[in-house]
Amino acid sequence: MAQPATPNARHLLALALASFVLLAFEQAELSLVVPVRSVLTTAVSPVLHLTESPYRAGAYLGEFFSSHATLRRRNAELERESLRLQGLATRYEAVLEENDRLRRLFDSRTRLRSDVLIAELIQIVPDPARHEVVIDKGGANGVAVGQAVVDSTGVVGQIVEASPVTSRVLLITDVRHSLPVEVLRNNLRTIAAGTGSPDRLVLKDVPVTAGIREGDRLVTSGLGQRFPFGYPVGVVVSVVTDQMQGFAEVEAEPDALLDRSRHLLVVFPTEAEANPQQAPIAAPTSGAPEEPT
Amino acid sequence: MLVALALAAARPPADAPDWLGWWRPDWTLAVFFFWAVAAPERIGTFCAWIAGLFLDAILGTPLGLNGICLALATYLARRFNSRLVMFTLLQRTLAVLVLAEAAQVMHRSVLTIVHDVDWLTPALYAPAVATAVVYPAISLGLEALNVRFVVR
Repeated sequence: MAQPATPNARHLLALALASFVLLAFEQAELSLVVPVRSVLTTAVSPVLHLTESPYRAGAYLGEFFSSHATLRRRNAELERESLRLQGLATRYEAVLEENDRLRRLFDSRTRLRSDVLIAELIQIVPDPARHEVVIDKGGANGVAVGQAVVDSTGVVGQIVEASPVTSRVLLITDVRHSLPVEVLRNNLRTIAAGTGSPDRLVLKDVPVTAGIREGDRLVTSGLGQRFPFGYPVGVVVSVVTDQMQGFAEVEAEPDALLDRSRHLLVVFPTEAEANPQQAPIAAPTSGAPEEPT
Repeated sequence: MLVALALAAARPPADAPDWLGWWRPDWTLAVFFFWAVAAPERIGTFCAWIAGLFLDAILGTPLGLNGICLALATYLARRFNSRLVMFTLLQRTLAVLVLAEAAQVMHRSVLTIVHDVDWLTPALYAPAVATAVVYPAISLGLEALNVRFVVR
């Protein structure tokens, strides 16, 4: 047995100090730490791919061994779905055109359409207290901090960290996340905050007189200039009003399949949208800034 | 060896069960503890700190947090090495439980301050217990490796 080396307590102290400095720098959002984290994240991205590979392999094998009949049925289903969506899309285009025309009549700017980038999920952060996922697109694909992330059903979250090859998405259900929304039925503007539970959002500061009801649909309001207007966010599932209180307790269920989607869309703001002076989307009556982290 | 440990750290739980997420063992801590006891001249505090830095990058935790937790555990394991090598597996497992708990409390406290997450969650005790539960298996597996390849 070798003589155990007696560790030096000063080393530990120095490392503790280094950790503390790093933590403090990051907390103070000093740009010094950003490249360090970026390099580290890039270095570990193969590990992320590796850890996700069993799930991918499972999905692949499941596809590979699905029977001919299943594939044919699925194909037929997809064709039907595609036809239905095409029909909807043509109508949507027409409605959009008409909407633009009407908006021009009212002398307001036309709403901008945004580009999207398809990304695949490569890691779910294994900590139930934090709702974050990592996607396989990063700075090299033009992804930047602050961009909105959606899936085919609704808003998923926003990019909070972008390394060259991967980026981290903070989900809308995380307690640190809030996003400005409006109720589709009566255009009531409010803020939907995460609760830490994967199927609940809570609406902040809704007056009891606001007339919000169960079943009301919520969409992004476009205020705060981070999430583009009009993406579905969720459905109100419970409204508790106490006349003694000024505000109602409103809970909503997110539309996006937050724990099931494998493919996500990163929304790119169009040029004019990136420059807020040129594109007042709607007259903001109340500031509703979201808190990214 | 270090590669194996980096992989162990990143293993995410299956998507489905919710409560299982809390009961994720602290693989890196267990592996570093084992090597700090079995081959203290090979595993240094600095090495543990660097590994922790990578772990932070993987998990998206504030940089330096896992570093100091791992460094502390490794330091203590090396400091009390002569005692720990005489311990039975059960006693060492209890030591892991204590270390993992201490690391977890530190971890959660910093996260609460920095990220404003809830402090009183199952994360305060579950990972430490889970680590202690898997430690005997890790220890036996790595011991076999150690004997086979005569690591020192």
